[in-house]
Amino acid sequence: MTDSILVRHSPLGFVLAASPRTIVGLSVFLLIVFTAIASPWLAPHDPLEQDLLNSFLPPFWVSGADPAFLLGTDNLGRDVLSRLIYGTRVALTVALVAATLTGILGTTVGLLAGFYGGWVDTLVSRMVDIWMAFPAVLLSIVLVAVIGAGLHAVIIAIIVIDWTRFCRVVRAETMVQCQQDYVASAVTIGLSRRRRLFKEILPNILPLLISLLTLEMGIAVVVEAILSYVGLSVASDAATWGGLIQEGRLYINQAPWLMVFPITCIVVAVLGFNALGDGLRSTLDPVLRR
Amino acid sequence: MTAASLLRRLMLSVPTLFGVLVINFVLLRVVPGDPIAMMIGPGATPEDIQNLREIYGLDQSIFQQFLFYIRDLFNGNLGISISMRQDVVELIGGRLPVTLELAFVAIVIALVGIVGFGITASMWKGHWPEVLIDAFSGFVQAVPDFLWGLLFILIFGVLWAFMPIFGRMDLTVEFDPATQFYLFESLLRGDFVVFASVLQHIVLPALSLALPLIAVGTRLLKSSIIESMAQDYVQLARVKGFSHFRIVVSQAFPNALIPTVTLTGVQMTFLIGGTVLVERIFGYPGLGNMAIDAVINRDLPLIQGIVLTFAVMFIVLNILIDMTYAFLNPRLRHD
Amino acid sequence: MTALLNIHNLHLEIQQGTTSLPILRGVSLSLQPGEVLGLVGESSAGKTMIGKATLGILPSQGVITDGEILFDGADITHISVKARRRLLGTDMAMIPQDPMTSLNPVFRIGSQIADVLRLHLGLKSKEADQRVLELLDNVHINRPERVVKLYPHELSGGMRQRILIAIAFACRPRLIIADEPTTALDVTIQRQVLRLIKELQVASGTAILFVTHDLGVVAKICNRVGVIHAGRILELSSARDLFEAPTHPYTQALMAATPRYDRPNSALNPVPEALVSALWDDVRSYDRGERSVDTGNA
Repeated sequence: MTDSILVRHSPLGFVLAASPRTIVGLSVFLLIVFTAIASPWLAPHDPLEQDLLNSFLPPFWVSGADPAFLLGTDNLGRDVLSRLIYGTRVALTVALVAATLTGILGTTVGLLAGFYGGWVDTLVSRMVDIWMAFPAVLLSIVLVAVIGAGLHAVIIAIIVIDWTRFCRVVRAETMVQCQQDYVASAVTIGLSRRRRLFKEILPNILPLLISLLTLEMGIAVVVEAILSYVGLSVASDAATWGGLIQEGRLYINQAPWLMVFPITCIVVAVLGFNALGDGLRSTLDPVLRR
Repeated sequence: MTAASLLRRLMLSVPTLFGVLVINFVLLRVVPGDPIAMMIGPGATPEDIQNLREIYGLDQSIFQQFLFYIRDLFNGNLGISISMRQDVVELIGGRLPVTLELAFVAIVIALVGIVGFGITASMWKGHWPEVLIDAFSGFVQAVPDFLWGLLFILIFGVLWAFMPIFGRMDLTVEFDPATQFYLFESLLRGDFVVFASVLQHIVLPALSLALPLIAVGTRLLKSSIIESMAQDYVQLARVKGFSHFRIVVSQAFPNALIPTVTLTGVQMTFLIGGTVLVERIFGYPGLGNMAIDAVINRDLPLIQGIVLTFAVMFIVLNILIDMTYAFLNPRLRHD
Repeated sequence: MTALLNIHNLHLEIQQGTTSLPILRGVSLSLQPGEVLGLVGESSAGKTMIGKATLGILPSQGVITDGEILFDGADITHISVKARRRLLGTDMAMIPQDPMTSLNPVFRIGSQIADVLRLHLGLKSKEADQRVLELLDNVHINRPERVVKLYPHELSGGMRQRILIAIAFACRPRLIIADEPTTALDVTIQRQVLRLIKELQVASGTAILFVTHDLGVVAKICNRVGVIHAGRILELSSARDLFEAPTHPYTQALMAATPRYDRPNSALNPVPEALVSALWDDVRSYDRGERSVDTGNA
């Protein structure tokens, strides 16, 4: 494939070529976006509203459930369903913002290393090696502790840790692309380095970037859940999936369902992002299409 | 692996270790806010602050501070924990064995699983054992690693509550340990009541660490064995009259191990890193659990010490993997 | 005297999905004890498949559709895996084509010879080690006690082929399938290896089915020669007759096409195109079920 892949795909062609995986992934993604935006209308209760008389209500299919609280209530009598719905807001914010910023940083560094080579590449590779020597989970926890708990800290932590993921792939791919004939011919027709980088190489690694980006969204959702599980994400009473799991862990013997629902949400979201990433990749990249 | 190549490998990790030290140092010093302000509790007098500044050398230039930090490190001095008022080295020394024991059991489970599943799947390639094992590893890989601990708690702690889901051993069991290696110590002392209790508590956290590794490793091993089975030396082994089982296990498997070890090496470091959360989830009193407490308490010297310990574990593990690789591959053994 | 190996009207196909490709079209041959039979033909003529079918190591797509293979009078065409394993290593062995890939890279040379001795002769490790040294000595390897401790990658191609020959002869088999054993070697090494195989064959009285595309090799080692084309044996006669008075035009053309060491400047004579297309017409009509009469052979 010597010319840019994206230009040959019209939007219509893309939809027609989309695999079932892409469609499933896209549906999950759109569902999350819709739920996050429409939270106030979808949620039957205020997620912070406490009702101590109605604590530990079971979900609707268990006897003793209150139909007003479809998925039951937690230890403070807060509606689990509403907290889950509001939790999508945090998950989506982190997924979009953290993944995009991580992608921008990692791609920039990877492009520079792969395109210029030499000492730039040595420096970047060395840094990636050092990064790999840190345990990611611990580093993210430490970073959040240093910056101070909160959503911005979670996002910064993800960027600082995961840029290497983009960097490694983009660097390798840029090196491959630089060997291709079309880049060589761009040199001979006298395109400047910057134009070569942005007009020739970047469009060709774009399919790869898009799939990396969606995969990173799944990772970001998990990292946020981990940090809220540990109690280091947003304020502790705000509704996040990880926070819900952590509360559920405390009352696991009284109310095991408290853990089941947020775990399900995370699994569905991550599977959705991964399916979207894999699907897009095989749709956009004719080389990978089998 | 010869002594010379081992030395060369060790030298190779020096720059990485140095980089780790720099980052670890910078991380906790060039942060917004005064580290001392983070360390002290309310009601500290200006003299207290000044004292602390001098103790930690914060009145010196940043470069000087780094030199002090390195010097202290070589003297085995990682400072005093703020929240526990104890020597950081001692604290880590007390918890590290717990984590090592957990990681050891997890790696043993993972290796047994990888080898067992990998060989079974390639033995019955194209039949139901392979289909089953492929489905299993696909399923395991689809679920984010950190959820496995939680799922195990739900399944074996609540749904069929026959496994303990918190702590390291039953508190009712009497044990007067000489070391922190409870599992090994109780086994060596023949104290099987304690051993059983410790083992029971270690199984679920170790399994949740091992499971993702098993999934990745099984796939790699299986495809490597199948690749080896197509080689000429396997055909010759068939003509020698070896059984299918013997060919898979003694001819293809040793060759397939070489690529598998390299590629699962990275996953192995994930397992070590994963102990942090798994220990938290199962209330397991190891290094990772202490790390999270240290973070919550903003105990900077302790955090620094633990991060460094993990980084060293990663580097040592990578060296071990390289050595295993060289041991398995005769082409590298005689260089 | 009953033949050691008797292949009768063997048909073999490569089946993939719904398509099938005929490889062997009614091959018949027999091999007496202690005899060396050469099978000569171009690449993909099917000669290697005859050896593999005899050993029972056909690729999974390779299916015998008709005919039979008798070893020592017993039908071994479709025997069980277990029965097959009783034959392999003891009664039948193989000298493979590529010495560079046919030894297991992670094991020492000594253990790769000893394992077959232990399996079939039930030797204890000391006896096996002793026997390995003798076997290496038989294939003229210097300082065998040093070589047994080496790994395959530390040996040259010629050395490895000698090791593989030692493995083939290790349990004194009655039949060895030699699948182009000299093709991957240098010309000078080829001669040494051929001489070695002949020497061991004469000493042990093992029969060899010698598969090759090299007529020169056939002349040196074989008692009888079969010329094979597109899965059919066109001519089968004693080596002397074949070289002095080839009857089939294809054999004559092959002989003419062989470069001669004694006439280095003579022009190369490819097999005439008309002959090739005539042969293939014949193959196609055979596949349609009209067995040709004039190429039928005894």
